[in-house]
Amino acid sequence: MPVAAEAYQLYPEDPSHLARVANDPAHRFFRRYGESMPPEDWHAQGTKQGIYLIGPDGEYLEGRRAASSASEMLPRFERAVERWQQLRKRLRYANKPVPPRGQPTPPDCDDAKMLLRVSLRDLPGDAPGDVVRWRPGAFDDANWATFGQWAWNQDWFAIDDPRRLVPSGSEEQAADAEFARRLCAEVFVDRVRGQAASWTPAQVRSASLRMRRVRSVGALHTIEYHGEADLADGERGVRVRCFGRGEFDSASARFRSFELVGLGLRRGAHPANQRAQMIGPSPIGFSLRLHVAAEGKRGARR
Amino acid sequence: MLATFFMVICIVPQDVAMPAAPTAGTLGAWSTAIEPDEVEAAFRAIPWRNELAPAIEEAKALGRPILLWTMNGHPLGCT
Repeated sequence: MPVAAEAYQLYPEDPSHLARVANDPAHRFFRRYGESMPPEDWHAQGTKQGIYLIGPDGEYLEGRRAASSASEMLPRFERAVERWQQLRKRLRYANKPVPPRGQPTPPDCDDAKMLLRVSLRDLPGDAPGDVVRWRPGAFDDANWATFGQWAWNQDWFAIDDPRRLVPSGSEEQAADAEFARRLCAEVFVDRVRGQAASWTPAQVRSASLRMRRVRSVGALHTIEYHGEADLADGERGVRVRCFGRGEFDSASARFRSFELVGLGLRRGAHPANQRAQMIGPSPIGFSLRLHVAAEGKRGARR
Repeated sequence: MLATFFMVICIVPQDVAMPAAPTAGTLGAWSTAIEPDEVEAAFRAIPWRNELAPAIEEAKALGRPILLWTMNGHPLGCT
């Protein structure tokens, strides 16, 4: 279960759902910790979004609900480390090294045959070099609303069969229409500054993805992709044009690389995507790249 | 006799041009521009776990504390 969902499942706000998880070990662990926090830091009656520092047995070290300020959290992290040092000595915790892991992916993507990491951000200018990046000290980080100046987001797109992106011959052909529509509906969503639901089938006005082998060397085939999408829900919408390239190894039936960019315009606002003051239209960019887990790590399997 | 003046302010939305379609020549530059760089993606260097229940068991086995960062949405500060 993704941590985002787990936050809801872990300590639901609704009393009936709270009763449902009453005996769940993870809920009991988190609840015991939470109810030992200072009340002002624990959002007893509402969402449990936040940053929590917890001992191995649920001991309170520090924590803050709805935490978002670095200047606020740094002293809390420092206090948590001090408390941990005292706790681990007193209770003789082993304090063993934490094994390294590859880049985390959502649990529901761990077994995907092919996983694409999606990045998205606003495009303030015509050139790639015009993008605005967060840098330490460059923005008023204490002011939550300023994140919109540099915001970017990431998402994931899982593919059950990589061959959906492989043309059968050397002629250009269209990718499966249903697959193209699903990809566009789930990926080309304005989530740069917040959340927005994927487009429903009815909101996909058009979606196309064409592919063509441009080079083959033995079992390795280079494929190029062109596509367009027009997605809309009333005044809210996204239009993009795409280009991509992939290298497919037909011997292993897997992609060695895949990269696709969509550039276009977004407009309108979703209730949770922080665009009420930025109705647009304005340029937006999406990048899809093959994600390969490190050997032995969780992630898209080789 | 009062003259009634109707003042109409027309706000004409500024046309925003559709960005040029990416091409073979611009694909790499745009990918790099859109994706977070090392500074922006520094959080990926942390060995995050993606499920809490197994992380609790792992923490107990290792005798290590847990940092739980949970948010209904993007963890970089927006909801």
